[in-house]
Amino acid sequence: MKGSDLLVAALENEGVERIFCVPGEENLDVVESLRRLRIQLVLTRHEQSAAFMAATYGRLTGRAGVCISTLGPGALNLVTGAAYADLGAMPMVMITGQKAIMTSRQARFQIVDVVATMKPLTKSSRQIVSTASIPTLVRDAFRVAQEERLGPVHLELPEDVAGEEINDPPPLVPPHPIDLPDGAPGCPRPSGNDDPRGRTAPLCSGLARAGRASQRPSRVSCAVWVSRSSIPKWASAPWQAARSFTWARQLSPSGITCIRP
Amino acid sequence: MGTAALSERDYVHQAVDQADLIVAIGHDTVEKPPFLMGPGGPQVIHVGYTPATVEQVFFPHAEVVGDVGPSLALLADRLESRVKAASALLPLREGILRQIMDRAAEDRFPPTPQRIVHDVRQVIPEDGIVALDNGMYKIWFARNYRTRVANTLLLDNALGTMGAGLPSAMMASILYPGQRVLAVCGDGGFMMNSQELETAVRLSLNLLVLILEDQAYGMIRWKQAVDKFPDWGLTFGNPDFVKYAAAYRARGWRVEKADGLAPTLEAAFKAGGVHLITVPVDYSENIRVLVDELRKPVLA
Repeated sequence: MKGSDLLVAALENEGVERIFCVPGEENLDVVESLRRLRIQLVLTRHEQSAAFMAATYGRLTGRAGVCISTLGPGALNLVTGAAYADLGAMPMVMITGQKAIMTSRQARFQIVDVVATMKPLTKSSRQIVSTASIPTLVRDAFRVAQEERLGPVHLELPEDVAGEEINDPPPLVPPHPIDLPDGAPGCPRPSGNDDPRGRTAPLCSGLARAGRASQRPSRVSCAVWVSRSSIPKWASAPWQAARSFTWARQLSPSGITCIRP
Repeated sequence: MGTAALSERDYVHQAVDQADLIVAIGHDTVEKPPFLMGPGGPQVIHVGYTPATVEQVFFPHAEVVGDVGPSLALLADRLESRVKAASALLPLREGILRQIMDRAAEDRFPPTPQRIVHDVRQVIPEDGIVALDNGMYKIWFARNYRTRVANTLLLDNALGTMGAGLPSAMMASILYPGQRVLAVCGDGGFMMNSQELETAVRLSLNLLVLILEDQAYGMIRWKQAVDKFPDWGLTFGNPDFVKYAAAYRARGWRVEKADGLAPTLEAAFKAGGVHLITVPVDYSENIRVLVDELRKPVLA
């Protein structure tokens, strides 16, 4: 197994079905690894379109879309797509190639600091410096991209790391569903203490992850709101009762109050 | 009420100005402000997955942070049958709808943006998807194209880049192969990524691309006129889009009369595959409606 095989296995582990791509010489190991697996490779005619498509996949599904380009010129063509996903809160994972990092037989040919370029346009931008870190970096990339506020993440895979043989591959990190305290039987509810201050951070971020992963959720949410608050509406829509708890913050010096079901 | 395509003095802002309280559900301040907060204006409650960022024009007085669906259900628990004047703004809403319908069926040629939006709505079912590039027509679609299903009008009001209309529509078509998907682009934005027609044909997508042709970077030309600058430096030429489509082995159509758009879209959807449809657009409405008309209230 090579580094690129492990990368593609880690992508498959995330449920990735297709990758939008303009490959370069530095991605050839990854392309070969993709050929052997079930992930569909969708070639586009410009990296910018690959990024727009991956971002829109994220926008419509709540799961990160994936695009791949090579180093330098290819990676720089992703930047508009990165900003599109970053400002538009669309989950996306961008993977770019790079020249070898352990040797430099082509000196500085085509080398641009892509990790630094992507930093202000993404939630996270990191280089994969060893095959051993591939499973955790890929899992963390998807975690970061897919949690609120949704957005793009960049990983750079140098060609020598991609081509390196791995004798003892590290295990993949299985993604797990995030169970929310939704008040259903068996799920934890807030206790008698109405003050949520002791659990604000984990509660807030846990709840925040929930909604958008399902497709088109806001129709139901807003229909509930409109129909029950007697605000006139122009079309009736079916709604389902959502059972959960949340908390409200008053922007006052007294701090936080809690709304309970 | 509808969508605020502008930050102030749009139809919706008559409701904003009368409101005591605005509940901003899921508003993200990367979007162009739907209204401008200032001293003495209505109170604002932010409902979102994350706290609101505080801006010069957006500083909510209270926030409900968490999964938006349950948050709204809980707010509804407290509001049910307690909003006394909930229908007070209904007449305004009717007035806005009348205003929006104005010139939507007019048969001048080239067609007005209102007519184009109206005709597109006629051929796109409730769950069909329209993906916009960025240009002048985004304002018209945002104001006039009414949706019933979320994510059925994909527009980028965050980065606002040109060139994303076709790729985003292609993605929607891949994910929803059984639904009607239409990209709406200007001639400027379309040409920024038009090479992806090859990708769309290669992937055997069912996809229509509607090009609104004005041989110009039309939105900037409009702003140039609003700012009273001379009309200079913003026009260009185009390829013959029907032949351009054919070169990609897609089907090209040119709309040449006012009532030709809807039937052309319908025929192209029925045929399946990738279609490029070009229609000229009359942007003289931009100044008349978006500048002159908005100075007057919908209901005096």
